[in-house]
Amino acid sequence: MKVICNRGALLEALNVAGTVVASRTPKPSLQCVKLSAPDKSLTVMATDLEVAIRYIDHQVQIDEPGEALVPADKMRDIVRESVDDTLSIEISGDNAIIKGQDSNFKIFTQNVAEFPPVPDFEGEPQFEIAGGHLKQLIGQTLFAAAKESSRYAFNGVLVSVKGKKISLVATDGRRLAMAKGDLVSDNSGKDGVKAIIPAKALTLIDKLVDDPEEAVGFQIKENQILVHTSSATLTSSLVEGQFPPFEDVIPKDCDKKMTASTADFLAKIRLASLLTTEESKGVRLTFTKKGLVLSSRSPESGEATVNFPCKYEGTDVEIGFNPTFLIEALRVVDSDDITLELTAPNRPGLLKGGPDFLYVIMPVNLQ
Amino acid sequence: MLAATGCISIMPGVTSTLPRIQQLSAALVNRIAAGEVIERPASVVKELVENALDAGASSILVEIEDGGRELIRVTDDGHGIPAGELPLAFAEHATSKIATDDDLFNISTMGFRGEALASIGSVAHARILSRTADSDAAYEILNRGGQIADPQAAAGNVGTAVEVRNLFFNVPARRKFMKGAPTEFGHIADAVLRLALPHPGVAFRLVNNGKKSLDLPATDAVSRLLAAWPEEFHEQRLPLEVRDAEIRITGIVGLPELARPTNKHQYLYLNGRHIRDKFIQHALRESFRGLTEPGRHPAAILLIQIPPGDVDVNVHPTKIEVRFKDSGRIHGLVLSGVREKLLGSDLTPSAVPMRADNFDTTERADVRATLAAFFQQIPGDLGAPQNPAPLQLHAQPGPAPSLEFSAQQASIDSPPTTASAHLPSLPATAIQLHNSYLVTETPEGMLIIDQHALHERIMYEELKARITRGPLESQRMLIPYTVPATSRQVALLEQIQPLLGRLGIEVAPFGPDTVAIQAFPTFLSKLDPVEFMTDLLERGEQELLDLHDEELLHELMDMMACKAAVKAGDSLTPAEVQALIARKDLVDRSSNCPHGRPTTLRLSLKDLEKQFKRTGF
Ligand SMILES: Nc1ncnc2c1ncn2[C@@H]1O[C@H](COP(=O)(O)OP(=O)(O)O)[C@@H](O)[C@H]1O
Ligand SMILES: [Mg+2]
Repeated sequence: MKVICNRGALLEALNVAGTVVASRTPKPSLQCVKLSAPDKSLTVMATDLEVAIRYIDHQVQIDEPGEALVPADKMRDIVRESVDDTLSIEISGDNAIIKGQDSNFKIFTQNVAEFPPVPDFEGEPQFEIAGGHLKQLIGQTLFAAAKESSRYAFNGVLVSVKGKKISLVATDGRRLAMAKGDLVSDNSGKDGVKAIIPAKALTLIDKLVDDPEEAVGFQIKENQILVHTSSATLTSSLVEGQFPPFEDVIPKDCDKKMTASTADFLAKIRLASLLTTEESKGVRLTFTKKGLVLSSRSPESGEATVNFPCKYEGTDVEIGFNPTFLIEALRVVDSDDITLELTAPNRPGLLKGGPDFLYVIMPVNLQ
Repeated sequence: MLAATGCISIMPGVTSTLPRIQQLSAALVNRIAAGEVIERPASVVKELVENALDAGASSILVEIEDGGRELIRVTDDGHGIPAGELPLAFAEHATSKIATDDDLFNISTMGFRGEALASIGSVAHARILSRTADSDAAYEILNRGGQIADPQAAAGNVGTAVEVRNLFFNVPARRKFMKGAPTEFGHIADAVLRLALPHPGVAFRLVNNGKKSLDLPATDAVSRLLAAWPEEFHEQRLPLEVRDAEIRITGIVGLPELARPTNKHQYLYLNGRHIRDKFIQHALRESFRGLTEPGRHPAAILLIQIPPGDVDVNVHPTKIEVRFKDSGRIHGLVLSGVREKLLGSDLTPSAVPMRADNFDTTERADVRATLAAFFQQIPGDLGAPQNPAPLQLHAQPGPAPSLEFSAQQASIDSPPTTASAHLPSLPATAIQLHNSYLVTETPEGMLIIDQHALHERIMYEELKARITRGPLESQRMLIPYTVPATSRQVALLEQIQPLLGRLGIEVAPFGPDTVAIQAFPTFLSKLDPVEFMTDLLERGEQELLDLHDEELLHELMDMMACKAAVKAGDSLTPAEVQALIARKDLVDRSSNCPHGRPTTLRLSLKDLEKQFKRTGF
């Protein structure tokens, strides 16, 4: 194999693939990226056996087709630190030779046969969504997923597609975020499709998409999801398990309602949370006819009181929330105003930002 | 007790003589009484030595042959018994120690019932040989199982010797229950030691089959108390003295690491009398709370002095249990006194043992291995910019020993290793080794800190402080966690519900064999609630059920602190290291984690000198 690459494009390909390469693995082959140059383009492949990626680099000139398995981090370091506009990669025997104007690297390669197969996107997508829109939906939900929960389903985001509509739902058991949107195309049939996509895969998808207008194609299979953009294909196993019946936890009987500017509410919450600590996280929200008073007290650092005159309908109520939970949600709301609906101090609150975003948040029992 | 009377049949149709109520003979009464006081040779020794102490002896010799079967002889140099009173010494209820009802509530001697010699005489062949200071001759009197001969003149020194042979010759049941000579002698040696501890001014010698077994010359209070503890404990003690208007408690307490699964290093004395007292034991355990592993008994010797009128010692045949008028006050004083002593002391164990011969214990070996590994690990340039330490090694005298003792107590003093009151406040820098230990420099040397143990300790103290302000802050669950639980476990949870509530944990039964966690403390937000609850339920079934509330709360906080703390193997950023070290000073007793393991080892320059053999050249 012999190819001449645009260094910038190659670096991009290696960076994307690098996020998938297994960091701690005893298998040297899994610490590699597979380079494949069949005819006109160079495909960079990586897998950690859960997520796999194929990234296609078109800005290449193939002098001699072929494939090779090269250590991901070494390869990336060389490409990143080089200064040339183009680099040539040549495989000879067990070595990869990377040449620039004034540099020449020879690195050892692994046996290509040891690399697991990386699936390609074949056939028609089940549904398509505009890149920018997809990124927005991911941003509005992914943060609410659990990080390393023993309730596996919580470590992913539930994606449901039906009737040219998509919804993403994520929860860590303490709060729940749901965002809805429209599809570009939907061939999923009248029953639609549902799958729990691992947080890691969604993070990667978010990174892969850089053109808001491009249509990102999806295929959901038995236990696998394939996502296709103009430059890459990502495959991921799905999270097994049952997503909780989230409709049941969305409060429907709220008799108290605050309406406020998203930005102002965010600013006040951040202010009120300055003195909270790892161990005392709660902020007290006191709602009266006059609006909202936020207060916090921590034995280590002191007390804070913040007034927030805003519209409030309902009887007076006092409720504690983890401010981080509110801040994270307010940051991703894309409407100017939000509403926060409540029932009782020990029952969930319901935050809505526009018609397509809702967020359920469970209160904190304050000390 | 007297099964020897035979069984009486009351079956109808069986002809038998109707039992008649009879007055027991004096000899039989004594034998019954003996059964209560004189259980085994050691009880004889105890009674005789107590008599010697009551007689003001300054030297007591105890001679034993064949575990006390063959001979028990206690010889003292006390005031002796006048010849005319010798028969009374063997008489039941004859005593020189109390005379009136009121005296019974004001007892300051060891004996007072006047029944010991009578009892002993009734179950053995006993001989008293005694001479008072103003008498020219000694007199002896014999008692063979209750048959008392007339006193005879004999040769002897001022003082008294009581000889007991053929013990239980007429109580076959007792004789049969005597164990082998080594066992019985073991009990005797224990008894003599217990009697000797609070009487440092009296010399004690114990001779077994002609061989000296115990030799305690008259000495000061602490040296005598230390006779009860193994040599390696001696340096690891704190002196104790607390008092209120009437009660005074002195003695020594061992550092937490001396606590053992049994209370064999614990001795309690009330007005010079060895006692067993659940209240005081409890107070001791409480005072070490958080410093030792649960279930361990601290080493401690406490001498409690209270006005004789405030205690009833006449509630138990061998007087080992007493009844306090105000036991709460004693409990409180022990608890606060010992605890203050502990909190006010530097409990950091020394990393290097004082003597090389201590290396053979496994703990020490571990320490040594740790140190060896540690020295291999230190990168060369770390130590380099420091002063050439050896030059000023002796320039710094150790801190002055704490002087909280009155002049006559000066003998009760802390050993040099534990004398320094508080750790000097720590410098802010430390290096992390093996992602597990932090090493930091102090003016005296260095500290090696177990990061998990220290963080656990800090978390525990924080939890404790927080919980006094109300239930812990807790995050309610939108989707409760479910945990499988047996019906027994569910019952346990119901029982401890209020306690869990204080800790910010809400659980409720949820369908068959399942409980749901509805709220979990934010303090533990990094933990998996299911894992925590599963652990709790498992431990609960095994060990938590019988604890009372305070103990249980402590256990639960222990669990929380342990789980919330950084683990060994967690790599810490320099900022985290700094924060951890900075908080070390903020928590009480941070030298031990809540499980009682030390959090910190100290390695002084002096120890280093020793290790590098710099001394003595
Ligand atoms: N070693 C001794 N030295 C002097 N007096 C003794 C000695 N042993 C016993 N006595 C006298 O004998 C009495 C009876 O002893 P004992 O039966 O042990 O009863 P108690 O000690 O309860 O008075 C004592 O009150 C004491 O007067
Ligand atoms: Mg007596």
